[in-house]
Amino acid sequence: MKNRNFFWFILPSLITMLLFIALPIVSVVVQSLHIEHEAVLNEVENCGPFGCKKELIINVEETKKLKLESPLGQFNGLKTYTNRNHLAFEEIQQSWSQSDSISGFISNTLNLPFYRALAFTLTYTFVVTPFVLFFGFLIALGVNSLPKTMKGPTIFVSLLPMIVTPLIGSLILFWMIDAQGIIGSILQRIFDDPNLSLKASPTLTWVMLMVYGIWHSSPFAFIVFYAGLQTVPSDTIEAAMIDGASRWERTKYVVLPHLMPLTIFILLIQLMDNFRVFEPIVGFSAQANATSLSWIIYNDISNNEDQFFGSAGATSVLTIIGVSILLIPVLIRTWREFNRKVV
Amino acid sequence: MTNIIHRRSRLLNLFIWGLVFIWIIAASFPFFWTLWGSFKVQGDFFSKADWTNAISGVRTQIETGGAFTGNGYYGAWVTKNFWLAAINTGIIVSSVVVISLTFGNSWWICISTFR
Amino acid sequence: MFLKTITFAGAFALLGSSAIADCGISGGKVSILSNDFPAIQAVTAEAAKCAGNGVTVETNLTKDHKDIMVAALTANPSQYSSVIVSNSTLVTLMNDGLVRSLDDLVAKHGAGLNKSQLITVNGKVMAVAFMANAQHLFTRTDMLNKAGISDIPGTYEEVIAAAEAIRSAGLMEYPVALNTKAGWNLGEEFVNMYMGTGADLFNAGTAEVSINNDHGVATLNMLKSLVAYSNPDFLTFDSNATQAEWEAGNLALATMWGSRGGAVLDGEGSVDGVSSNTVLSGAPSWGNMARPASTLWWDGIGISTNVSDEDAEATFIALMNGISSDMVEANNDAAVWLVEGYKPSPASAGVSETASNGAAPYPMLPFMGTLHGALGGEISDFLQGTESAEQALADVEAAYTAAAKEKGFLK
Repeated sequence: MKNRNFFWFILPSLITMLLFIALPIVSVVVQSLHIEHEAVLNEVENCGPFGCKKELIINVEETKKLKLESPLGQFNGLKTYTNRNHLAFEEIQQSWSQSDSISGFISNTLNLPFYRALAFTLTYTFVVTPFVLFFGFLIALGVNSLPKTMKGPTIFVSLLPMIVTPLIGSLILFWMIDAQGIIGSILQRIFDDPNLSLKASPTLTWVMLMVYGIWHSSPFAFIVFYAGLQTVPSDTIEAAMIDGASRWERTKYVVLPHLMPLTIFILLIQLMDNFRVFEPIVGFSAQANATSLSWIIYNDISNNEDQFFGSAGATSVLTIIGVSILLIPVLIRTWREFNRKVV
Repeated sequence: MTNIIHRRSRLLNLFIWGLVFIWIIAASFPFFWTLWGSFKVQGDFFSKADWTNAISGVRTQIETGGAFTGNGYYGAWVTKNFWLAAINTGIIVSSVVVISLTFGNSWWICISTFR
Repeated sequence: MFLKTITFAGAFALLGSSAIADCGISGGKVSILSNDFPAIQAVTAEAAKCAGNGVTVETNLTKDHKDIMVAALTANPSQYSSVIVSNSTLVTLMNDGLVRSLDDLVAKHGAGLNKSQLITVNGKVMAVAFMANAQHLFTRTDMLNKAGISDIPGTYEEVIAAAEAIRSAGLMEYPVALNTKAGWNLGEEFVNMYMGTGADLFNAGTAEVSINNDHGVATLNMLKSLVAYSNPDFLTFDSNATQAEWEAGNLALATMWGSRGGAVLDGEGSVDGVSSNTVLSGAPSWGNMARPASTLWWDGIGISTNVSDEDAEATFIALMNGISSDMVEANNDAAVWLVEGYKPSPASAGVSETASNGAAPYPMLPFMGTLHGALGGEISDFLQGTESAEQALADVEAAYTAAAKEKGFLK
């Protein structure tokens, strides 16, 4: 296809991507470099059903004038990125010079909102992703060995945790694991601890959220691996059988290498998805024990009485950088394979 | 020869069936539980006193005179305007699918043809 | 009132046996945005009766009204001619100049209003309040009696003693609950408890926070003592969860919103014996202070700036009808009404007592929401025992300062 034809053909897609992906990202970056204008405050007397009190209010006319002059707000440069709610350079420096041990320094750092969220997000990503791959593969192998009539319904049931909206799925589980709910009560019975509550301690909350993550994402890995298993070349399998390979050796030396591209694909998707973990924290009301990067962005802008666009923008940019760093190894490997194939 | 190759040890069979069974239960039980509970009243499904109320439907019997009730569905569909949300979702889903597939397909065709 | 009666009589005479309620409005578009609970449903239903004769009345009752009100009222013409506002939402709308002064409308049509219903800011009436709400104490008197306590606790120290008695008597392991869900609810509990000390949250005349002091530490310690008697899941308890626990009979002493009173006392959805033994009383005080540890909230009418004067007047008149004494008489128990003709009932005893004992109103400061958010996010660590009180308060002040700088309240 000539270059010119190619260009005209992809123009609609290019425009869409520019409008819906590139421009919003630019807008978020610009927003993250600004903060609101200094508020002009007047002291006035407020009276109501409960008496009168002297309080401060915002001078609306002055504020409107400031906003008309520069609608974006004050330029703050990278200060929003380094303030306490984000990378907290000052606080980290202080804590480094003041704390007497590494564990003290780490616990001080984890007290800062961004690092607390980052710790959970990274733990979640690096625990859930391998388990999802492992369980997905195992279930795919299992379902592949079922008789034909049972495969259909089993596949449908297996996909349920993924099909149902994450928020609904997490709410359903939240109600069930309540100390007075079905799973909570049964767990209390099993561990013989009438005070056991999955929602009470941070550790158990993290475990619960990760179990939810694995439960929710395994069907995705399962269905991709299952599709891959259908394409395993039967001649190679038969050749291996003739050579005397055991079932385990067949899986290890034929099936797994064949599924490697799919594994990379699932790994990529899962790393990106798990890094953006958000719905379970809302569904499980777990924000006291676990916050994630997406959650702190949501928290900044969800309270419509008091929105922090600059802060949310800065966290968003940091999240994008985080995802890019996470994906570097996978992208390098894909790039190498791509180049090898061309040769 | 084919018989020997395709015969699985009983242990492996047990393992496979066991695994699949556990997974089916884990995947479907929450939804089955919610489906069952959707036909009970709030006092039963979310009972803080005894979770087995959701199975036996004690309060459902008291409040509606039957073991199962469609009150929850009426409440969601009519009272809380779920029918409106369903229509909105339908519009959004079909538009997004059509638009993204149109642009996505043209992009992918270009890449593969050009390469 | 007299003028209205004449207008009514005249209208009826003209229309014969017509049943259309003529509120005396010549025409205009009335649209109301509000929260969704029984008291407001009664007000808007009454206001909607003014429809007809060139007047249209639309209402949107949703618990997400806070999410859409700023955007809806910024539009010109505004999407709603009025919003039912409260302490905090009025501040948000005033910050952007989205509600208009009601001085002239009150002078023309507000003859029947109590002076206490007028919310004046800088001398101008910005809203007309019609109901009050506050968090206060709910008690299971049967549990107290079984534990050997005869009086309803009047201070939080007495609440803790009663909880200990109930626990030692083996009646309940976790008899106490507050709305301690991490986030807005938890912040509200801290603000309420801190108000009980009589100290200010900010340095006077500035936006600088000052809670990292003895008052703050004492407040946190009191909260910690209370949650020691709460279910370990207390950080997930919002007002719905607390009410559910109460109605299931799992609690004996709880701090809940007064607006929950009617629902709790009506016995629907409660285990037997719970609502008949529930008594609502004023919020306790603590630390030898007289002021109750609670904040007073009002709900009222605000009229948007970006509507025509004709629509604003029509809306005001319709809503004056909505909060008339007749409506209050018909819905006496739905809320603690500030309107003439309201008779206090057991469901409202708590809020009335809290107000008459001198509780402070929730501060209507532009930066209060920012502090509230910082509190809700940072004190859960202390309540879980992983942080000291001073550290938690320092965290709150640091989080608030960073957020206030971003909002322009601090340099």
